[in-house]
Amino acid sequence: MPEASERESADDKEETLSGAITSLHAIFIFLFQEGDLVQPKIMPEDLLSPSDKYKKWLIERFKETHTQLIILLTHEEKSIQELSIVCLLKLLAAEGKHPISDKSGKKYAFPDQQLKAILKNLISETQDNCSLLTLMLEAMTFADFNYWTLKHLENILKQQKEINAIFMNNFFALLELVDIPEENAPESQQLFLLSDEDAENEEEHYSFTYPTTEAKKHLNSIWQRVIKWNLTPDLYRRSLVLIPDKVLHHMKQPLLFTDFFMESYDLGGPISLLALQGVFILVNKYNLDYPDFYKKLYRLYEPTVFHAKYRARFFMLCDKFLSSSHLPGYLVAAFAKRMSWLALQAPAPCIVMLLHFIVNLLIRYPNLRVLIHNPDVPELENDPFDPMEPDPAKCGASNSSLWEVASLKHHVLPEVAKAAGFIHKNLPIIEHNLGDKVEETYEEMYERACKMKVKTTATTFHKPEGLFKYQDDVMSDMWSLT
Amino acid sequence: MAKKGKFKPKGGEGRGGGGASKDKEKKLNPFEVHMNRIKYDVVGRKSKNDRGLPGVSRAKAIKKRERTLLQEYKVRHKSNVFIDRRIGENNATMDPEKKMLLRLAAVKKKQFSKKSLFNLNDEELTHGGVALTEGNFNDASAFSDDDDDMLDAQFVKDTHFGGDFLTKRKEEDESTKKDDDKPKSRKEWIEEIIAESKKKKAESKKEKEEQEEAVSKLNDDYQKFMSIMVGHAMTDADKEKSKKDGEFRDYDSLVRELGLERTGKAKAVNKMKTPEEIAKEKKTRLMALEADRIRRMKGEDVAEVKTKGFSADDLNDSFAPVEDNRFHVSYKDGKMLGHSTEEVGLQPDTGDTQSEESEDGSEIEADEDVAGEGSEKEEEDVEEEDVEEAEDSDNESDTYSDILHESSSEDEESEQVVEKNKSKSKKTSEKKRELMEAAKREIPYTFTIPQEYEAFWALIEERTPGEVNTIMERMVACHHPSLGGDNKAKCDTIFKYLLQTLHLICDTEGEIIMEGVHPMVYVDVLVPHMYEIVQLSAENSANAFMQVIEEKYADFNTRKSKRYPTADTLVFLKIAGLLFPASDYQHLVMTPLFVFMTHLLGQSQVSTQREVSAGLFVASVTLENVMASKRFIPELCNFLNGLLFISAKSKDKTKLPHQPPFKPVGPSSSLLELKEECQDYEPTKLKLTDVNEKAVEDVSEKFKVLVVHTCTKMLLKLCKCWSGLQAVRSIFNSTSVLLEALPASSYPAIVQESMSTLKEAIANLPKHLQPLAKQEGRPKALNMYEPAVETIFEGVKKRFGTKEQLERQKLLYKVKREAKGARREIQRDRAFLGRQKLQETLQSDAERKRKVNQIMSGLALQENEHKKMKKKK
Repeated sequence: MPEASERESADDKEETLSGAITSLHAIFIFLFQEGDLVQPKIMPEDLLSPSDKYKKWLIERFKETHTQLIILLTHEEKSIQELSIVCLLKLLAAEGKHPISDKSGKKYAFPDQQLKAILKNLISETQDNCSLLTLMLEAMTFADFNYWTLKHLENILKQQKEINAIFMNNFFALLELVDIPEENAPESQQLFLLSDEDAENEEEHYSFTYPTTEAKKHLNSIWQRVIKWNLTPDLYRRSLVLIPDKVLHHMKQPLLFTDFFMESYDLGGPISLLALQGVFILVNKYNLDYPDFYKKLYRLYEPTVFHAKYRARFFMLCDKFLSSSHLPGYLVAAFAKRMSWLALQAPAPCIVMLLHFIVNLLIRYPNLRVLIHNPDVPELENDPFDPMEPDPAKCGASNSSLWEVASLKHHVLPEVAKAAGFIHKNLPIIEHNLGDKVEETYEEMYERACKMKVKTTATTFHKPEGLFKYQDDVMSDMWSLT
Repeated sequence: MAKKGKFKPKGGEGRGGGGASKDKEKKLNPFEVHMNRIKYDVVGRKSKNDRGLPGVSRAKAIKKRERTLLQEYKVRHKSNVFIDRRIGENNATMDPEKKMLLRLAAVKKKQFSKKSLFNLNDEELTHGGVALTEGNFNDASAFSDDDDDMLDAQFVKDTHFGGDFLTKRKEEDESTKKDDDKPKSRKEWIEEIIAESKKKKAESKKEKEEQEEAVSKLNDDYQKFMSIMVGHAMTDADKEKSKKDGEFRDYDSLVRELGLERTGKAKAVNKMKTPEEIAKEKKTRLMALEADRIRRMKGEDVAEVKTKGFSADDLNDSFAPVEDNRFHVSYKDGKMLGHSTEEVGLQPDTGDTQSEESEDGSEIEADEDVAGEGSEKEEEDVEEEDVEEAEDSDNESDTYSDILHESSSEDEESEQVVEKNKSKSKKTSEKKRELMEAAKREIPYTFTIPQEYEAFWALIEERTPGEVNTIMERMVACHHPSLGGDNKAKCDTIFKYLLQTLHLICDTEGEIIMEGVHPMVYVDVLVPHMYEIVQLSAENSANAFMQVIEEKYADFNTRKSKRYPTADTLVFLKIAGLLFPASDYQHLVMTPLFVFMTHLLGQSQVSTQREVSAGLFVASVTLENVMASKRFIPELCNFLNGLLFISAKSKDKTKLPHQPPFKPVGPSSSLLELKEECQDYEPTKLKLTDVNEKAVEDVSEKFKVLVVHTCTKMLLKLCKCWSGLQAVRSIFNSTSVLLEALPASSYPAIVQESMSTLKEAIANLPKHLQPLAKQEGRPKALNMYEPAVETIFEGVKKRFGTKEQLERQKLLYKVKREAKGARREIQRDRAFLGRQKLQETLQSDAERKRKVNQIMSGLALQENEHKKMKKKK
């Protein structure tokens, strides 16, 4: 057949190359569908019929194509790389549907050797393949593909001797996509081999049940290794998000992660915010005894928290932490006072959220109401609350009052001023839903301000003489036009 | 006929119609009847429950239970039910042959009844029981075309639904008895009704036709009459003439006299005001406006009625006619002078209203203007002054209108004549001169509003600021909304053009209006006119303004890392505060604008000199806007603190209080740090044009000092402004820390001084804090119930409350009763079942006993026989 020679001759020309890839792809898909790519019975050479010989030859060509395509994954042209990975995945699916060697013993014939070859090349230590790996995103949504990928990831990791940053990056890109379905999840999983239109009629032929226990074993072994790596800051952050979300509940010994999370939690800054969830899950579900958890949480309340990327996550978690009914009053008072103190420096969208949070706390802990209603205490010289004190027990919040909220009642934006109105009114009976406000932005506030209905449009009544010539002008002594 | 109604069982009353009642009422067993005792016997009230038949009803209930509950009880352990639907199977009386026949017939019928379910051909579609054939269909539609066909109410009442049947029948009975003894049968009676309704329909139809005919005839007549009258229609000239002749006028005045009965009396007008009074009035007006502003600031609703007298809008209304008339008259003069053709087209042709307006309008004003215009032809300067005078007088518009009113009512005609003569003489003498002086730069007196912005730009291009001022003044004046027409819309258009102009001249490559003059100078010129237009139509201009702001905000928002915009945005932020009150609690324009400004201050990067200036500009606009209302903006304080932060000198900046967008590391963290001491500094002003300048690498030392100086000044103002807030010390906490970190000695003396004043001011902030306490609400009073005394008792207790409450009470009562009834039923069901079970046990026990006895007797017999056998042996 002409393909082989064509491939060699047109190696450097991308167009020809991509043409060749697509045509090869089409040919083999067709051959798979026709059933020509089937391993003939093993017999001595001279007994083979011509058609068997032809089949044998075809299989050899197919394998050759496969290896060539895998080599092309390291081609310098990005488009060629992408084309070959797509092509490989499609061939993989086709082969799975029409298995070459008739494995009657195995019911579900996933071409895992081919997949292993692909993965091994993708997770290389020399080339950053993250963009290529994103192309596998679609395939990873299929349960079967997901499982076999996990299996091979473990294999690859075991065989890998030297681990560098590129390898970690590549490995993580796939590891992030691994998702073990819940055991009692509804059986609505789609299968990679049946992803096409002929799914229904061949359903019973390919029965695949997700081997959850095995998958968990693989995942456990992978993470035990991964956790020992020296992670880059980016991967560190990613794993902090990934572990509590997808990994922790599949682990045999989740407490192995304790050191990891504790260290990260002590680092401070955004890393602490991220580690918070993991620590919480460990404390909450796996009975980790974590002294000074709230003390450290209190220390995270800094003005910079409002500008952190994971602000919403942080405050939702804090809402969870501060919903326990067994917290001492001084602690919650410290949090409430700290939040109101922070609100004086917070950007407008966060203030509303903070105020709602404070209201929720006041509703939850009735003995906190002394912060807004404390009639029997004489006038104070200074605020008993010390914002510099890192210990919530010593900051003196419970002797203070929420004067900050009273000041915020004079905020320039009516929305904020209204949210602070609770200070002089009765508290609402139902708690605010914090989820509505944690991700509030200036844009949303602006839109709401534009939509707001005002009955009359008031105007000024002193005629300006110029831009800086006005009746009660403040700017004229600082600014001029030119 | 016999009297209808219920008979009381008491024997004495039922004497009259005994025979009829005996048929209906079963003879009751007196031992079965239970009489209910009535507590209060009310005469004339019918009672349903005065007697009952307990035995009978109990038997009935038991029977019913046997039919229903017992059946269910019997099949309680069975899961399926067999229903026999064979024809006649449940009918025991039918003989088997008939059953078979019937079944056969049913099968046949089923076979032949219908070929197909969807075969519609065999069926006939009907409407109201009438077949829908071609002919019928048309008839049917004719039935309901008109409500004329409706039968009249009386007829319906009489006949339909039995209507007044009973009473009618009685009357009829009597009458018919007289006529013929035989009463009408039902069929006859219905026929009569049908005949009647048909007759009525025919009559109404006929009537309608007649009416139509009459209308069409009238129409024809009118057409004919109009064709005759074509030649004799009244022209305007005729009207004029007749007015002069006084015929119409006399008639009109007569009508008025008759109507008002106030002949000969002059209209009362306000008295002329002294300057003191005028000043006082102005003061009160301003005070009222200020009071309104404060109320809005607090977020209270300003009562509509109150604003009406004093509001800014009203001001315009009262001063509107002044300006309008002035120009109106001048236009008239212009026309008479044959001065510009352009003007003719411009003026709204008001026709009759014109004369009216001139009656109301100002004569003095007109006079003044004529004089002014006369001199204009000679010297332009004079003219400009004049206009400026008029401009100045705007504020005193109230007084003007008063004066005008007085003067207008007096000798109006004579003055007009004088005025005309004057202008005519002037016209002849100056015509030559005017032609010679046909200067290019002359500004026309009136303007049309250009259709496109380019045309507007052409008008103001190449003009000095003063000229642009005049142009705008005139343009606004001759499209004053009170002139009527669509002038309000035109004013809005001018406003939009002004906004566009502002945008253009403040752009980074500002459009140059005139060589040698910086385009931004024109901003000062345009602002007062924008104010004027906003006063005229607040709503629309606010909307137009908002459109611009929205556009600017969208522009700002598209970037991910926020940057301070250039002057073409910032200038709008400033102007908004001039046009609309920034102190309002909520405002259509100002509230979104505040969000915009807080967003700018809160998230924009500060890494170049331009950005520092722009940020400072926004900050000072914000400061100005909150000064009056003393409201709090965290972002403003953060920004100023941030500027101090990047000027401060410190080894480890992360320890100083800071907030994004200011970073503690990187080149921008020490942007304003002084490299060397700077002592030669003169306080200058920051320039708006700086905002448009391109980023300069090095920030000059002077600029750094200036920024710090301005910052401290602004913070001082803020400090005073927010001193009323309870948490003010916490707010300025970080400011004082940063002030300590500033290298004070490197700054010139004047800056040092302002720093120390700021420190002092912060230290002197009110210290004492009263712990928060909610105001004790008034204790809630107990509900007072007045005794519900009914003056007239109507036998039933009256219930009070709203409709819903009463409805609810009724429903609750019903629910209660139903619940009671249901409970009782359930109790009886249980009792019934209990009895049933007991019966069953008794039965089975008896059975068992019988069997035991049987066995025992058998055994006894056996034993007996056995003994006998023994004995025998």
